[in-house]
Amino acid sequence: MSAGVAGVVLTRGIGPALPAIVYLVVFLVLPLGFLFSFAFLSVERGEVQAGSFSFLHFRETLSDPLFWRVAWRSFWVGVVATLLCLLLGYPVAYLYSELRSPLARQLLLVAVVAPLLTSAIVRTYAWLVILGGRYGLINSMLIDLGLITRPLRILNTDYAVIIGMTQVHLPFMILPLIAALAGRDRSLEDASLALGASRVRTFWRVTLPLSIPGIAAGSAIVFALSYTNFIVPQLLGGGNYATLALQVYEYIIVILDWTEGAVRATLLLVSCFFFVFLITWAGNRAMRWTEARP
Amino acid sequence: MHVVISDVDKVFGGTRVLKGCTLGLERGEVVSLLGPSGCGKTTLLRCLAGFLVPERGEIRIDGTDVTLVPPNRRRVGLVFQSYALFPHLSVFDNVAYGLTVRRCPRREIAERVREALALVALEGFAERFPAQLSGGQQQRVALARAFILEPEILLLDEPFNALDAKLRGTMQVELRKLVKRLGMTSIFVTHDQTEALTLSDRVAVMRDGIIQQLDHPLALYDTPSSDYVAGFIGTTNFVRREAREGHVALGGGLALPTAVQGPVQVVLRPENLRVRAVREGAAAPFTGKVTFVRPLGATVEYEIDAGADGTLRVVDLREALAPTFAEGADVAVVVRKPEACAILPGEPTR
Repeated sequence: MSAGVAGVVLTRGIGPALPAIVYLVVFLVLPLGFLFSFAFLSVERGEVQAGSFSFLHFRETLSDPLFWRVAWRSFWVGVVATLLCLLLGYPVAYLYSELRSPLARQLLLVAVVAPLLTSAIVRTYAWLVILGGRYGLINSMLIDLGLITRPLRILNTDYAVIIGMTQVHLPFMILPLIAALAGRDRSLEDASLALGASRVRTFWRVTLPLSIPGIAAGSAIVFALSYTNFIVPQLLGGGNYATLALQVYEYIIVILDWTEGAVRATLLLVSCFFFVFLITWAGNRAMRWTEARP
Repeated sequence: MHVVISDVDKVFGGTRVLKGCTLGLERGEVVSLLGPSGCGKTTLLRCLAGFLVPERGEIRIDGTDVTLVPPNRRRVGLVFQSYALFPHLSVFDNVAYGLTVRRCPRREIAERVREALALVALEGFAERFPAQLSGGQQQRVALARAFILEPEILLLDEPFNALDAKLRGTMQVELRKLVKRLGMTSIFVTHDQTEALTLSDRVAVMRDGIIQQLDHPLALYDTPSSDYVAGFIGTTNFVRREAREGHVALGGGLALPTAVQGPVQVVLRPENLRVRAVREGAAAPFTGKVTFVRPLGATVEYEIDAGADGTLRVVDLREALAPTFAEGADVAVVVRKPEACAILPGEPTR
């Protein structure tokens, strides 16, 4: 009898999603709630001080110029990585959509997804070998070719972090772009050609505008991942490199200052939601015609 | 000839989809390519538009060989089965697209788009998006977008497929009138014989990559060149006979004159036959049993089992209040106008 009731509940309305909802509430929403609450409370010797609720910690952090420098860097590193992913990913997704043979498509898809099968830490360490010091792959090559005499400083700079982020997050850009491009209506491009437009013009005026949903989805994902990633800046940014995500990690795990960590985690999450919302909103705005109804 | 297609071959993956297609259109003429799916009609259209390059043969528009000219330099207007309107552009921008590409001055664009929209009765819809239009309106936008560039030739790929049956009939007539008014040389691709006959000056019946017959609609009906064409246009009864010494004996003393010898098929259109009662002493080419009656009012359709000649379909014009024959009745079938029967030499090829 009770099994029958459970069966009915689990197959109606939000029923099928219930297990996942319960799981996320217990293991995501509640822990995040705890974390955020620390940002508003004072802790001394591991004890939450009663009646200590205030916005004091936020006020202090937000009036700290160092915080704004770190936040700005997190933001623009995320933006540059997103733009690079878009620039590098779009041609790959376009190539995929133009391939006729299913085998070639499968191979390309595997090549795109394969990096996701190895851990981001392993891949980021590989960049150390390539970008690192005098004997790194790039520097030793450039020196051997006689193009430079002294090794370039790439590792422990924004460049290294951006290169690493772009590589790690490229698949997350390519996949939504493939979804947007592969199923597109080719007759629109034929129509553009028949109306006298060149292939290049057809791309800019028809193919690209119609792939905006893919661009928006990919950009939102890559930006969110880059903005909040702490592994890549930690390994490729060097000891003095700071981003918001990295600071959250350091305050909570290394310094054990939960309050400072919680303040930054809250600000990081809220601002991340805001930017993702902004990207989605811009995407929807550019796609207003999809809402047009008679 | 304004548009000439000569001896065009197209091969896809080892299969010859077009086998020596030859077709010529006078300026302002409307021709339909009619055939079942897979007969090559859309392939021929795409060759004309420049999306496909034929392996052999050439295409001339206004005397110029355009076989190798890419679609964007061909001055060909194209209306797609799905209309292919740009969903992200307004009706105005859709129609203006080709003019914008040609860098026309803004004022001229606005003026010409207004005229084009007026021609298809869509004034006041300029700011709408395609998704806000009905199927018929979308088709008119697609049409305006194509003819605003004053193309040498207008190509239409099954343009009525996406419309419901009632609207289709109206739009066919509208389109025919519009294309004629614009004086535009046009080619329609269709698998619907009514559509082809409604729209065209001449119809090209295609089968397996070959144009079987190119002729005026009634000529196709009256004098089909093959049993395939006869069977494709309208309803037909085929009767197999031997032609000897200048005659085909149908039976019941009825002989049709012919120049051919040997096995033939006689094409008997249902409305050229008549059902009457079996009478002593009055010979008829066919006798049989009525197996089906469709009393439609002005006409009555019969199916008659005529023994060795198979099932004959007859459309009888009903004289006022005349009784009809019931299912199971024994009847005779006579030919109204023997001289109207087409005689096709050879065995059936259908």
